Amino acid sequence: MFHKDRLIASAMKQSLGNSWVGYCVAMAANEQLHCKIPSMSKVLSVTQLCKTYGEIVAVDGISFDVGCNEIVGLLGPNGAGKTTTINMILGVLAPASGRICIEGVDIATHRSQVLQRTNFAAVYAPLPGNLTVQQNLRVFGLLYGVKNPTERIEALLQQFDLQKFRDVKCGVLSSGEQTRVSLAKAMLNSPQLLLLDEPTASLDPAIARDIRSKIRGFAAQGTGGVLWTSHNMYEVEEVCDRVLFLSRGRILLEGDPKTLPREHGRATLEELFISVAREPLTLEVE
Amino acid sequence: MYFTHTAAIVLRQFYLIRGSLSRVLPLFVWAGIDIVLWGFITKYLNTVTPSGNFVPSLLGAVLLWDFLIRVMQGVTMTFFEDVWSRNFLNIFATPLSISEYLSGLVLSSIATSSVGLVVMVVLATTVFGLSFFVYGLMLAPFFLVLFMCGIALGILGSAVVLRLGPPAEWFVWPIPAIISPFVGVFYPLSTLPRWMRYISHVLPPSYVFEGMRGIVSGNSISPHGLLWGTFLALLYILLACWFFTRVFRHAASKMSFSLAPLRVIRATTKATCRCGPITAITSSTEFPETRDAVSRLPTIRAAPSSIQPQANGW
Repeated sequence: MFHKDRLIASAMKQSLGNSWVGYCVAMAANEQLHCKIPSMSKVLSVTQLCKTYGEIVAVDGISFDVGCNEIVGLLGPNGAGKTTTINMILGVLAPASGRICIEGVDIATHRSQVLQRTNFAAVYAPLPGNLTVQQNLRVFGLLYGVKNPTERIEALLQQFDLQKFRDVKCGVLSSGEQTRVSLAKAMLNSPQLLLLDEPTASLDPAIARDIRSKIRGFAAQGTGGVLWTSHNMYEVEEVCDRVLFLSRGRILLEGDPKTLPREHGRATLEELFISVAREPLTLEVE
Repeated sequence: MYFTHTAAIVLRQFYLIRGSLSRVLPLFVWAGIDIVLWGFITKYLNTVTPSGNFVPSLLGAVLLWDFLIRVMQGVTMTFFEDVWSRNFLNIFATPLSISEYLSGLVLSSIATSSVGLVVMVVLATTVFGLSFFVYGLMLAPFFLVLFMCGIALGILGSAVVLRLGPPAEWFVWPIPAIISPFVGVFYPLSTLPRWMRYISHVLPPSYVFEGMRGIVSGNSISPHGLLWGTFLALLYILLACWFFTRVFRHAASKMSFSLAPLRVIRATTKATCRCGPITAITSSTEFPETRDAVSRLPTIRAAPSSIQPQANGW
């Protein structure tokens, strides 16, 4: 099932309950009417987002959405604007212009409300190393207003296989273990929008696969969406429903990671990535 | 404003202090040493000046001044924990608002400065015979003004570090020492030259120490002066909060939250080039922020490649 269909399915399920008949009727109706995805099915909506630093344009009027149950990959070479975009969505970086809405609510005017339903994990933002795993999760549980934090933390410690590190200071954990703690923190408030900036960058292949399946499970089970950046094209192809190629602050390409390379005359996603990094103008012309 | 958000900041500080002797001791050791040192000085002065009793004026002044310093450091130390652990991105990407964050710093400071105050009071009263009955009910407004002034200075210092980066903490530590000659901790303001007195009039602690000396010498004190001091302290808290908010917004527009760790990494790289191996950096005094970074090396080692894109720009 394509990502768009999954979005529609999710939205229809919401509007018609979980009845399978209702769902099929809705899908048929949707195909006939070619209606747009209802706005409520968008977890994240970014419109004409810009960020400049003096003369330098870091993000140049990008627009995209992330739907319910969707994992969107934000790809691009170093300096393309991925982390800047994520930081603006997280509310820690003010955009020069544009709009960011999470579940239809503008972050510029309702920051706290929006961030209550958002979370992130980034390899460059480990949790404080001078607190234990459990202490960190407790502090962030309070910050995110998690109900029944003790139970939630227990569940996450189990889910990310962190029980034995419960009372260990995060600073002495290996990079892979720290990443798992960051991911546990990112799941604390069961976010509607999960932002992951290279979440598997420092993990060994076995743990990375496990983490990928957990995040896929997260996206499939609830009504949340995931925005994922990675330089591992194999991973992107495996996990993402849709990818956005970013270069010099602009979205150059968008599509299904499995079909996009062929559409642009490249054999693999990695080749396409290299083309975007080296010859973005060529791809723009295409 | 959610109390749970504020409580998170206090809980974090509680966890840090509970698990670290190096954080527990400074809460009361320096304050205690000050009281012991000045206690003996006052005892000596009492012996060479038989008619005078320096305990309430000199030792009382030291206690009150140390209280202000503890309050200020309570705020800044809580803030610096986020600086040292490179936690800004994590913490400011939560629903936490600036007012909740600042409230958390203030509550943490109340808790930590109380420890220092209790130790100072116990030492000053039991060992050196300082009696708070001398000051009467005026003790409450004295503490209130000094507390508010310490909070204002703490928030101001935090804003300076947020604006200029971790190395700027060396601008923050000397602030009380710079102010102390102007507020007349140990001498009447009339001792100061005129231009210094102009500055004294806009510093709230001046009214506290003048009032304290007035009470000790048996003179009546001006309630207007103390009220004015209270008003000024309140004004400075508001101004400090406004300044912190401005700096925060500036940081949010310039990506400073993400760049804060980068500054540390740059310093580490620089230090590595100069000093050679990691062990050399640890002992380097030239880069204090590098020592902090090296002491937290696991977190830096975790992400060397991912920090590079940040260094490249966006």
